Amino acid sequence: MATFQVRVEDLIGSVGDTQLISDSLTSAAAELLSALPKECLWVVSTNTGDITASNYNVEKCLVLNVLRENGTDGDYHNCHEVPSSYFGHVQDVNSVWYPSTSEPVYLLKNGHVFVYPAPGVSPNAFQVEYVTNPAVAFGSSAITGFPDEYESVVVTGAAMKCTLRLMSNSVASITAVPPDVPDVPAISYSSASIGDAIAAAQDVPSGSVAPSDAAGISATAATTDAAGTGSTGSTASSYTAPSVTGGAGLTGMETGVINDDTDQIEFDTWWDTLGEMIENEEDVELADAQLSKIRTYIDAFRAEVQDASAAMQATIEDARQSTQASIATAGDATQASVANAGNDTSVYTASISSQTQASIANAANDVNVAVSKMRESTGAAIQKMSLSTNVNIQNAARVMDALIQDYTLTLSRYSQELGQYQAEVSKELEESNAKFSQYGKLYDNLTKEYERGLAIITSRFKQYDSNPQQAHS
Amino acid sequence: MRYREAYELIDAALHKAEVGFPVTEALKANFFDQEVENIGLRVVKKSIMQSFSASGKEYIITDDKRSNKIYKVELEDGTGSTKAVPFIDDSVMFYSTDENTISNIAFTTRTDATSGSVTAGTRANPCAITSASHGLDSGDYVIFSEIVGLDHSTTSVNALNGKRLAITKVDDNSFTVAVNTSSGYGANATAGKWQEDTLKIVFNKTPSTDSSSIRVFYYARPEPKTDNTSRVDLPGQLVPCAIHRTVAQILNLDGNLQMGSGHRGLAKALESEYMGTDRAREAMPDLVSMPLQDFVNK
Repeated sequence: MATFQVRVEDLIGSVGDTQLISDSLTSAAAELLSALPKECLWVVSTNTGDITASNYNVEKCLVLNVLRENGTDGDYHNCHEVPSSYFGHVQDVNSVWYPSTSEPVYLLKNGHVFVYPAPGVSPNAFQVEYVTNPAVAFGSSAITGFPDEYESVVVTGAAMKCTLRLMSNSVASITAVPPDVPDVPAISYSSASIGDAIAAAQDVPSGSVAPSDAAGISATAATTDAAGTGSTGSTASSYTAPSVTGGAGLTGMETGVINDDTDQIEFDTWWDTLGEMIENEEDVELADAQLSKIRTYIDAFRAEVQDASAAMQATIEDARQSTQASIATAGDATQASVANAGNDTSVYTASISSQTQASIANAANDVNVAVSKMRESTGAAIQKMSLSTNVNIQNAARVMDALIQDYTLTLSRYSQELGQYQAEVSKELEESNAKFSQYGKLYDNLTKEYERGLAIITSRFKQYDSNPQQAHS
Repeated sequence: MRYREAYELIDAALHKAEVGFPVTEALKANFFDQEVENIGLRVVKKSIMQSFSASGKEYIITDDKRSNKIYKVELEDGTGSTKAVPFIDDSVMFYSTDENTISNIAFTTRTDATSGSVTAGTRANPCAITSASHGLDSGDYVIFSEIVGLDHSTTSVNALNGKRLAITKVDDNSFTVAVNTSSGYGANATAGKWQEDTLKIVFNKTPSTDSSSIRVFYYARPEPKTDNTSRVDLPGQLVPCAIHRTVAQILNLDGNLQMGSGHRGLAKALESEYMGTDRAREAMPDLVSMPLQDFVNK
């Protein structure tokens, strides 16, 4: 037999990558082992021999079967595979899943085979039947332990994988150089400046336009006191009390002595004297006389009081009339003063008003003149600025037009180059597609051949795959 | 066919079903062994006889193949003549009745089912059990459960759990069972339970002193399994019945009721065929009286 490289390249032509061929061969062998039913793998399996440890490492291996001695040396019983989730159950003697030595079990966990009931030295050892994926080199001519028909399928599988590489290579072979993409034009449009901008309002009226103080307005003299010029001309009314004799006054009483001259004119003694006459002297007549005397005196005194009162009333009336005359006189004077003051105030008010109006009129005139001047100045500035701005805009537009025209020419040229490039690419793609199509057909044929090889192998073991239900029926 | 081969056939029958749990030997034995016993009692009806010397009113059926399907009891006197003892239901049996007032002897069956606690189990031969006021007599049978301790040092299998054993009374608070736990077992038992399972035949009056022996005829269970190499004690035609019924049970557990039903139907058909061929004219006195047998059989 030729080497695997020769056998692969006989199918698909030169690959040009021996590492790819080795990898494809190894991968195809692994795929074949995983694709085939277990019954087809016994011919390539390996037996571990007796294992007395509690488990066995089966990383990168495909376990076909596990056997355990049943307590009799050399009497191996097939172990049933159970899911690793039963790891606890198969070790629990009280569980229904606890196995017996006549029907032991195994499970795969952490890349190891665990066998239960727990194995040990013979007659409780166990063996593992397994298959490992072989490493197949491109320069080899055979795979150790593989039947010829298996090797043939491996070669076909490797050729399929290498064809995929060739298909991939056929896609990536475009040699046409695309045109350089034109640089994006730097359209640096500078903003049109506004010329002669108004720096400040023209001739803004300076100072305040407050009206000046109204001239001629002095402090208004207060009206003179409106004191009455006349005074009350009445004299003080004098009341002259009627004179009586007696130190104790009219109502006082003092000790009087009958027949005493002094007491005879002393009216304050008359009561004592009367008492003397009544009580001591028991002279009724004298007493009556005395009473008459007192009564007469009282009458006289009353008359005198009446006279004094009348005089006093006359005096009061004089004083009242005099006071009224004074009040009238003073009122007249006051009215005159008020009238004068009113006249003065009116004069001053008129003067103030007149002068204020004059001031306001002057200030308004000043402001109107200033505003008018400022408006004219501002208008002129705006007009100048507008003209200047328009010129800037027109200049910027011309620059922009020139740039666009240049870039349009560049794009046109690039478009032409791109069309040429597309034509070259299309041509190369057509060639690549043709190659790809050829490799695709080759791949399809190899696939059919690969499947045919698998079918041949598996058909030899069909009798183990029959349906037991059909067998019953 | 041996049990081991039957189990292998069950594996083969379940091969394509891809049951969602491991089918271990313990699982198969749990179903298959029970099916063998059921079929033996229901279909095969193997006849067996146990004789007793007349002594008292109660007699314990000690055979491992015992059943309560007693179809005949004979009393034999010293002269060799025998007479049949009729069956009466336990509901009409009055144990406190003065037996001198009973003129005709009759029998019934009874299974004592008292229970008690195990407080200690000593490693010895025989194994000594402590159970306060157990109330058992020698020869009574008990089934142990929940025993803590007396696990085998290597296999971890408990010496007593699940086993039906005859006891020998030591005193009111202890008894022994015929299990050698003197070596190979771990700690003594510290707790557990027992339940009595004593099958008795009980007479309504003590057989007369001139009855030398009593013979009890009953349908026996199949021979108990010792290990996987034991023969399945069923006629060859009926072993597949037990296999199909076991497969049906396992498939039903897996939720595959349709396929399980198929296996169950197949088992019934096989049983029916067996009954129609091997048992067609056989009397079944436990079902109906002899004159009516013809109406029962096809």
